[in-house]
Amino acid sequence: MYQAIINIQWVNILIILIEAWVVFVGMKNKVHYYLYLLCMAMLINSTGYLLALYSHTEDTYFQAIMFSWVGKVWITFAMFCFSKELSKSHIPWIVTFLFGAFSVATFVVVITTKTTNLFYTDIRFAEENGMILFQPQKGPWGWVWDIAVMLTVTVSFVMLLIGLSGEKNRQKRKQFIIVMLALVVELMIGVLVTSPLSKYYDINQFGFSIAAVMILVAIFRYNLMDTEYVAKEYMIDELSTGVIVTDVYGDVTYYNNTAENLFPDIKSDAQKVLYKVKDMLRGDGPVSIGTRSFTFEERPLIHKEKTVGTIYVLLDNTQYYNYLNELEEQKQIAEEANKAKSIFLANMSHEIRTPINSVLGMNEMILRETNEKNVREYAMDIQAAGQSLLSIINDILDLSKIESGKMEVTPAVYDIVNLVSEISNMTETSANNKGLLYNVYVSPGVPSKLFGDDVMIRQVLTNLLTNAVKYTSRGSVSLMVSVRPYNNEPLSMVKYSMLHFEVEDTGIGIKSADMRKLFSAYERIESGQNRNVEGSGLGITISMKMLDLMDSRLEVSSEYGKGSVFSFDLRQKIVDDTPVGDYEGKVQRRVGQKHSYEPTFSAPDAHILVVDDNSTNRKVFSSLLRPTGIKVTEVSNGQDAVDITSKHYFDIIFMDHMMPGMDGVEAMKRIKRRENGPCSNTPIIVLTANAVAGSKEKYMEDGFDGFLAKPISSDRLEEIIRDVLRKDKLKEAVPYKEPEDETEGFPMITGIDWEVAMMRIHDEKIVRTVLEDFVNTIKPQTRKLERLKAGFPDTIEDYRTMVHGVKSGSGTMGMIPLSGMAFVLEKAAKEKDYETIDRLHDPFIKEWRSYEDRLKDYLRPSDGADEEEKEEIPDEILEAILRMLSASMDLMDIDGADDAIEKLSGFRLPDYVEKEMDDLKDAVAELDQDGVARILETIRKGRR
Amino acid sequence: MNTGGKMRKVLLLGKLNEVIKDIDQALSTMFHVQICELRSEVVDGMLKVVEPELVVISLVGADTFDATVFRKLQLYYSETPVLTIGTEEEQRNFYDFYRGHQFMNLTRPADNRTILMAALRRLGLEMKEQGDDVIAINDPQNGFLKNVLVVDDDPVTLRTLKEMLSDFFNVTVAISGIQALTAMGRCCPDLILLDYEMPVCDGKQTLEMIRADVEYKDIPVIFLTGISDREHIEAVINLKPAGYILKPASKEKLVGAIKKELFK
Repeated sequence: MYQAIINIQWVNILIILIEAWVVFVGMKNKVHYYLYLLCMAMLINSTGYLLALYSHTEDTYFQAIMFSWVGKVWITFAMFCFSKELSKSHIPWIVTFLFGAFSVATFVVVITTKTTNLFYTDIRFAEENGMILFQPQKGPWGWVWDIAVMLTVTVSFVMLLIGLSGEKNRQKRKQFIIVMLALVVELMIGVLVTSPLSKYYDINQFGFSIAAVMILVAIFRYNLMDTEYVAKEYMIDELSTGVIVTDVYGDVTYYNNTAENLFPDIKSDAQKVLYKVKDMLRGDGPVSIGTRSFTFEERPLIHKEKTVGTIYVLLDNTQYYNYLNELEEQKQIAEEANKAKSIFLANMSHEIRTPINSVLGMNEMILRETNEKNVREYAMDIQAAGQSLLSIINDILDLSKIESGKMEVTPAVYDIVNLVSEISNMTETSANNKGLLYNVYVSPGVPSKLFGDDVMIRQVLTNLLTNAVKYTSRGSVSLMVSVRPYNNEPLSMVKYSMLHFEVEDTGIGIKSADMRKLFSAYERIESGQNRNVEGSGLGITISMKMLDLMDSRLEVSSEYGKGSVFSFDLRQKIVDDTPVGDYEGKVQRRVGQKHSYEPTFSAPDAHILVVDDNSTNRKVFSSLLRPTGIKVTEVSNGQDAVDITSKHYFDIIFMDHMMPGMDGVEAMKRIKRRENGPCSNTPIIVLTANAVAGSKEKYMEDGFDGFLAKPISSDRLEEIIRDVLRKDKLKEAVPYKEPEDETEGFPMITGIDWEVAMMRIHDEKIVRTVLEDFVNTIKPQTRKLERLKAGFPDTIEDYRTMVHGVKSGSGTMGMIPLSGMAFVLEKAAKEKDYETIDRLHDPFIKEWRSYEDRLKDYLRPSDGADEEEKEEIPDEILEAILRMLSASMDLMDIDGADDAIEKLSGFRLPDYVEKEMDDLKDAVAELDQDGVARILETIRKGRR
Repeated sequence: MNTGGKMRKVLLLGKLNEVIKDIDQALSTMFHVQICELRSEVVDGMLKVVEPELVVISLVGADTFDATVFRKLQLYYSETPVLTIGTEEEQRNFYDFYRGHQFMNLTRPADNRTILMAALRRLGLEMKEQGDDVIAINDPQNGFLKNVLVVDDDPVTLRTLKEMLSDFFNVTVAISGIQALTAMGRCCPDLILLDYEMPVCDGKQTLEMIRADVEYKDIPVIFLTGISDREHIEAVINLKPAGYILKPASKEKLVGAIKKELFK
């Protein structure tokens, strides 16, 4: 039996030894550490017991037991820590510490038990069958120890139980179960201590080794030694990504197989390889090693929030770069294809447009020639469809032209007011037709003349405005032009202005999701409201590309259902930086200048005869009809009318009623009586100033075909012609351009013959200035002339001189009546004909003065700022201006003096100055140095 | 002193003291000078009204100055040259501004002549020293245009003629024979347009006065006359003018005749 027990013990030790060794080899983390500790404790314990079994004396036996206790006290403690770590329980460290301290205390107690008797109260040995039997009596500490052990094991068990319930991982669960089982076994064996078997052998030893076996099973079978870790290791090692790790000092501490394959030198000279890698990191782009491409990365290695080294990752990106290259290639191919298409289309543009134009042209002929209603309707349909087709094709071709690079920016000098107003006219019409309001605003600071491709700008703006009108069903469309601040090179000769254009509408808006579609060619945003909108969908794209060519960019902001704002900034070279100022005013004036008559039809093939003894009337009649293109023949009496109508054909005859010789009625009758004359069927319309009720009926009874009252209104005239003219001669209105007439733009003012003025002076601006001066001097000069007349006979010569001056001055300005009167007065003065002077003087003064009123409106259509709006003049400024005025008058600097007066007028003046202003202005107008000096003196006195 | 038809304007800023009065005196010989206190609100208005071609700033008491004025000059009047007159120390307060071409400093104290020359230089005018005087030559404002003096008693005619001729010539006006002589003293014309019929001192007398002066006797004179009867024409011709033109004359005729006379 003795031998059997010894052998069992040897087996125990062996098992524990094996386990200890396995754990030692694979030890990687805390769990393993505690397990190792446990194994060591068990080993010491078992070895001690073995020694005890071998001892022959009681003393040696006792010492061996003491030795075994070195390990024994730690077994439970290690078990506890192991379980805690495995189950990841949160036990406050104080508990662990206390238990550790308790274990140490227990050992001390055990060692000193011979003297203290705390652990064993009574130590007795027995001998049986040649074996020494140790039969101690447990002391108080011994019982405490037993309870403590029991408690610890239970707690460990519980910890593992809790950990088990929270653990999902199957492997880990099995680990827990096994360990818990081991604990249970331990416990059970512990119970067996009370059995008679324990007399001969400490069963606990057996328990330990069973537990050990079970744990070994857990290790081997269920990877207690942590697959995760192994997997990680395996992965890193076998990855296709190279990994090199250095410590904080830059020494290479680890590299995986791949890294070794990439850099075979790393085995021998790791530092050199590291330098190479760092070098490669500095460069851009991939590094190729062999046939593959790598991207290198450098990252700090952080463990528990501390940097413990650096890890270099060498990613194999070969696949990625291959894809990239292929993508690039495909993109090239696609772009080439697109370009080829664009070039093809651009070249084909002529080929495509020509037949379409032919179709439309021929259709136009059909429209003109056919008299059949059906055919006409068909032709109208063809025209509508054709126009639509043409515009779509134009859009497509424009886009291709731009894309193929064939469109160029061709800059020229242009006038911004013209550009905006022309575009506005078009847009306003179409907007109003849809019941929309159209607004245009041009900031006063915009320079008047610029250098740029105004054709392109027009196209872009027209496009945006057309779209705005298209997509708006109610509300308004607005165009705004302003200037953005722009820093010009101070020393440069060339100045630029950054224009800002904005088109705003209250239309359907664009959803943000649809914004992308807006900018893609050919796609129109499909929504219920959009289905009825025509067009190619290319407008925006073309505009964008055009803006791109002009170094600009289209910006859009929109709110679905509320409206949109399209805008762009455009840098343009300034040609004339005079600010536009009052845009509206300028447009009005230009409109006034242009022939404002817009005919509603044209009839280039029609021929009309007008009969009137008054040449002016005839002239008026002709010019009224000029825009329609109708040929007008004039005759001055009834007989001529009769004669001419026997030889020539006329579509309509307009006959004046009251004429000397043969009157209108007579002439009409004779023409109508003629048979087979060319004008037998010609309608004859009477022109009469007689608008008495019943006269119309009388004329019709007489035989006239129509009636037109004098003075002739162009509307009525057109109406009659439209009614009476052969339908096929009535054509679409052609926008009529009046030949350049210099006197156009001058309002009719009695007593001023603009032609004379322009002939002499040639420049409207100067004429205006001159007239202004003239008006300014009327008051003082007329007063002077009165004084001179009062001084007769002494002042007769001066009177003559003055009148002579008025004669030539007003003559230059086309004031023929005034000039004429002055001529007579001058002659009278020369001949000292006081009677004539008496007779003419007052009417002359009256006529002269009347020009002030007549010219008032022309010269000052909008008076300057309202009195209330002017600011009060600061004292220093007033002083400065008066000084400048004085200096200018000294030098006879007319411009300086006028300037000073103008500046004064821009302010609200104190009373003592205001009351002198009229006189001051007069004096300046008259270039009266003394007068001005006097008034300035008065003002100075008034100030004090 | 040859100043041409117009005087250049200088705005002189600074504290109202003796120094600024001296500067004013120095510059007034050649420019129309407007003094203004260096207060931002006032200077604003002044700049707009006077529209100076040069701004001169006296830096006396610079440490109390508000740099706003300087900034405004730099931002809104960057084309107008600025000449400051001050010591090194005074200038230091505004160091930043001197980095560009607009601002330049003349170290104080400086005598009148130096100040004048500095001003001319800032305006880009060449100058010549004639005895005690400094005169500006090659003034581009009057530049290459010929000077024409128009003499007529009727202010409307004067204005009209000036308007018509300003595009082609540098026009000075005088409303009487006497005024004409004053004007000629200021700026010697290349040609004179002389109205014949004037009160007090008529064209004939005026011409005689002109011919009497050594300096002016060779200046070509064209008569403007409204009278076409014989005796007058004869009287006029006897005075040997360079020509005569009947009033009212068209722009073409006037310009043509003047050009012909000046460039023959």
